[in-house]
Amino acid sequence: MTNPISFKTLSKAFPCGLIKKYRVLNRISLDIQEGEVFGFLGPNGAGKSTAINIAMGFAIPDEGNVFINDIPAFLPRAREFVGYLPEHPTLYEQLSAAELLEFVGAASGIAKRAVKDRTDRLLDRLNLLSFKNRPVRTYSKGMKQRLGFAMAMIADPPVLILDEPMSGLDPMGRNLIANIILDLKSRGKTIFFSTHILNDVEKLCDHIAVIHQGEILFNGTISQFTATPDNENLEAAFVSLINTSRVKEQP
Amino acid sequence: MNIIWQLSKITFKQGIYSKVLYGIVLLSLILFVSNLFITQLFSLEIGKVAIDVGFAVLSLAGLSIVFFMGIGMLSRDVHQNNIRMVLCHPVARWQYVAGKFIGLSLFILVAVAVLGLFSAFSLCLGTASAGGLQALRNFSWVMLFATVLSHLLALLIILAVGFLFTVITSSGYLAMLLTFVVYIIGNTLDTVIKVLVQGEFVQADVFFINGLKFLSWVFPNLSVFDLKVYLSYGLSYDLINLLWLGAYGTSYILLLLFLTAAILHKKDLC
Repeated sequence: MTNPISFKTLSKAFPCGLIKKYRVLNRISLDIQEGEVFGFLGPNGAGKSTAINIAMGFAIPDEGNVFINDIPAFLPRAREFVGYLPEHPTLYEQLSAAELLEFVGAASGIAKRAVKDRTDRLLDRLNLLSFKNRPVRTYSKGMKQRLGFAMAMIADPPVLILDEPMSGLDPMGRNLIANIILDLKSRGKTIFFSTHILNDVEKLCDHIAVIHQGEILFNGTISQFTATPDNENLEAAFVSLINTSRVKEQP
Repeated sequence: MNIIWQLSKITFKQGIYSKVLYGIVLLSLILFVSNLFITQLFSLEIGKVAIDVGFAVLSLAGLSIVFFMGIGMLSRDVHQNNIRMVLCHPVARWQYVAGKFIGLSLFILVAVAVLGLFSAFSLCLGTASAGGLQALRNFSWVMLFATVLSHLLALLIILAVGFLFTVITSSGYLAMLLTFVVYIIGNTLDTVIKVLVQGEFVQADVFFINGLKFLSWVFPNLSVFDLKVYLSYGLSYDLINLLWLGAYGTSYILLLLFLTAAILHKKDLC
């Protein structure tokens, strides 16, 4: 069966000086099943964003590949199935939300009429409808994040890749996004997201993977992750796993 | 094709909303008005002075748009990752390059058309005291149009050079600086070679001259797009030459855009 997202022995290194290279991902493999909410966890600099950048075709892997519905992620047609929210949405700030969504909808091949309907519905749901015609440069950080979410959902894609979706949101905004993710899950969408906020993971995810220094340390369900008696909750299990891997690295 | 058109449209809109535009329009207005006073300082060749000042303003405003708006906008996209907003949809990188270039070209076209009208208007007013456009030798509106068009083509070449340097470098300022260097070389190299080859008292090394000739094939020869001398002196310019000029400019732009797209295709955007 085709998986919506598949990471196959993915490696990536970035130049560090003239000759040296710094390895960020080391042959990671992951399969994300259809309809599941997959949490991608790891400390800062673990390689989460790099993996997502490759999945979105922004970066080119050194080895292996990411497939979206069996299509290599670098090909534009792979992104017909994906909605993406970056950690810090970079938007064309002179334009309004309505103009941006109109462009994004057209770029995704949706009819103008449908884009208009969806724009109003999405902006209303994200509490942005009254700001629809205001330039994005006048938006707060949280509003930009919510607009980024609307842009990811405008084409109603079957797969959503979210890089720290709760970043920059106040508790109300976080609650709103969490409810939308749960709603999308109930509609059978596949959601892959990276986060530091473990409460959100517990609330939303079916499946998690923990990455540290470019390697997958754990891949399974939350109950499997917290199964040992020492790990009474997700945070304790996460800290313990990362610390154990650090101890192993030391000679 | 629809994606390229959508990108062009959004780029054009960004240009219209840009604050840089207001500054450029204001500067142009001031310079065009000052043209009226400058021409009054001369008793001879008023028409030539009016044309030179008018086209200098057109070049200055056009270059400001290319550098501060065009390269600035692309640099924000490539160096600050705004490009991801576009590429996270089913848009190929070459489509992004084509869409951005067409959008900015349309904007420059509109700007040059407006500036060209201002230029023609200031030319009429500037020469009014000397008997109007009749003061110019063999004045032709067609030649004025051809001169404005060749200016536009030169600006688009510079814009394409800016595109290339933006994807090669990691900073917008560096891209602007390198593009400016190409602009200077493109405007002067041909003259330098002519002086070295034809100059009566010039003794230059053959290797050096050949090196410069080689460079003249690499860098765009922007001096050939400057037709205002023909306009000022009422000289004729062959239609065939004009067509060759258009073909040269267009093929140079296409080559640069092809290189830009090829480099961007291999670039990690993170």
